[in-house]
This record gives sequence, structure tokens and C-alpha cells, in this order.
Amino acid sequence: MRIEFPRVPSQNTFLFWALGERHTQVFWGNLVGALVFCVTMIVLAKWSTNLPGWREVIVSENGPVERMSAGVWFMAMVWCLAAGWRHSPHRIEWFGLTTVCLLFGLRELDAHVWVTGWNLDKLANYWNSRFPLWERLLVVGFMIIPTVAVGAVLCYRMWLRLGRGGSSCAPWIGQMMVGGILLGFCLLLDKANAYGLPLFGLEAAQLFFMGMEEFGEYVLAVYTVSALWPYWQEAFSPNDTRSRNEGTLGAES
Amino acid sequence: MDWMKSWPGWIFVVSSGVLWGLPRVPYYHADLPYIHDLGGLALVAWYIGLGFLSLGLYILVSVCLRVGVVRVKSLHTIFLGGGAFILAGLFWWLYLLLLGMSVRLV
Repeated sequence: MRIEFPRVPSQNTFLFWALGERHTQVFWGNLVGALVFCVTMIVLAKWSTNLPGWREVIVSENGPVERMSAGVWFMAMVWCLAAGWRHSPHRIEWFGLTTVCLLFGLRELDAHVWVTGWNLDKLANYWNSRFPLWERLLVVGFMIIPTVAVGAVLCYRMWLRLGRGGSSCAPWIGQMMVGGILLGFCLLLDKANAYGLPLFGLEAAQLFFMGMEEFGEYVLAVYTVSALWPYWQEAFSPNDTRSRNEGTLGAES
Repeated sequence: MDWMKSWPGWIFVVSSGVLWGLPRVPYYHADLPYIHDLGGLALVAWYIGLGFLSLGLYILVSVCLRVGVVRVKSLHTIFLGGGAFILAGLFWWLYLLLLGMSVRLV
């Protein structure tokens, strides 16, 4: 019986330490690595682009941080797509992840605003008569329902593996938890900017929160790549792919 | 040379492409999705092209570091790397096509 995806290949070495039995350190290592990397890149972006202040680098729409986040998401999308092509036993998972990365990348480029001209993120817009009914139905039929379906399939397949992974303390559970916490942090800051700060009279702090949100989104993108990296390395290994396609990756007795 | 096969190296490559490459491509403008009809789609095509370029480069580097180009046994890997470069070119051509059409419309 083969070990189910996701599984961290034990022979790979991470940037900060080698993977051994210390699985609990893996996701913290990824997070620390992502944080250090993002800070370094932001400093490099400020230095290289000659923008006048940190605000223009971190907070501004289409600024360097937002562009770098989008670049990382689209890179992850392409690599997941290629891994799905190479890795036939887990094609559904890889193609599901491809969709997730594409959606995050599109969100980073504000596609939810420019695709139709109205914000797809706001639920109230779906029963706003100012926008054509056929347009709203098209968005629901061709974007929302397929997205929910892909998410449901991905969650279902991960859920099936959760029991087995949980009993063996698989590192991917911790990685998913840290990723989820990061995502929640970004969503919280996004909603705090829109609704929370005006409610509590903290408009002056808006810039700080916006900067934190953009930084958090960049860290989330880099963290995702760092967590998926060993699986990609396994998928793109230049060695013979026969065993991989037969599904014997990490054969388990 | 392990650095070349680690994730920071490749995110750095992609980030460099976005930071220094993107502002220098034809038709590029910070408000691209909003000032051209097809600007958003064109920008997405450009980013996907960058993703394919990074994948092609990664496969090229990993193949060169591990077994040497002339000793590669897996044609699958060569197809994947070569295909990634071709797709990168196609997506960047699509970027130029979409924006060229959009500029003519404006």
C-alpha cells in the first residue's frame, strides 16, 4: 500500500535544517524561512526601485510587494499544474492546488474587481439590481460554483487522509494549520480595514493595517511555496519517472 | 549548489522578474488592468509565462546539476523543461497580442 499524498520526502533538505524525525519543526522552519525571505525581498525592492517610502513599496496597489505576491502565486500555479501532469496517482490533488493558487493570484491582481467592473467579493453585489442579472448569474455559474466544487473535492480528499495522517503526526497537517492561521490573519486584517477600523475610530492606523495585510499575503504565498517545495522536487526529479507513475512513491508495507 | 535547488533561489528569480522585468515590458503600466480592456487578462498571461519560465529554468538547472545534459535518460523531463520554455514564450506572445488588440481598440 502506498503512502498517500501529501507526504514530505524524507531525503530532502530544507533551507534551515535537514528533515529528519523532527517533523514538528518543519512547518515552523517554513514559516520562519518565509518571514526572513519576505523581509529581505522587501528591503531589496525598496533599495532597487528607488521608491520614496515604505508605503509605496508595501501598501500601494500594484506596488512591488503585491506584484511579488502575484508572481509567487502564479509560479505555484504553474508548478502544481506540471506536477499534476507528471504525478498521475495524485492528479486531482495537484489540479485542485493549481486552481487554488490561480485564484489567489487573480485575487492579488484584483481580478475580482476588473473582471466585471463590480466587486465579486461583496455578497451584497449579487442582489444589487444596478448590475445586470445575466452578469451576476454568469459569475455564479461559471466562477463561484466551479470554485466551490473544486474546493469541496480538495477538502474531501484531504479529509480522507486526515485520519491516517493524524495518527502518524504527518508534517503536512501542521503545515496546513499554519497556512490556515496565516490566511485567517490576512482575512481578519482585510475585514478590519474595511469595517473594524472605522467602527472603532482607528482610521489613522489604516495604513499600518494595510501594510500588515499586504505583508501577510506575501508571507502566505512564500510559505505555500516552501511547504510544497519538497513535493515538487519529488515530482520534477530528473530520474526515471516510471515508479512515480505507477504510484510507488514511498512504498509502504 | 544546493542553493540553486532550494525554494528561496527560485522565488528570488520570480520576484526579480516581477520587480525588474515587468516594468520594462512593452505596454506595461501600473494600472494596466484598468486602463486597457484586456489589460487584466494580458497581465495574467504575463505572470503565467513567468511561472513557466521559472519551471523550465528549474528543470534545466536540476538536470544539469544532477546528471549532466548528455546523460539524461528521462525524455519526460526534457519534454517538461522544453515544453515549459515554449509555453512561457506563448504566454508572453499572448500578453503582447492582447494588449496590442486593446491598444488598437482604445
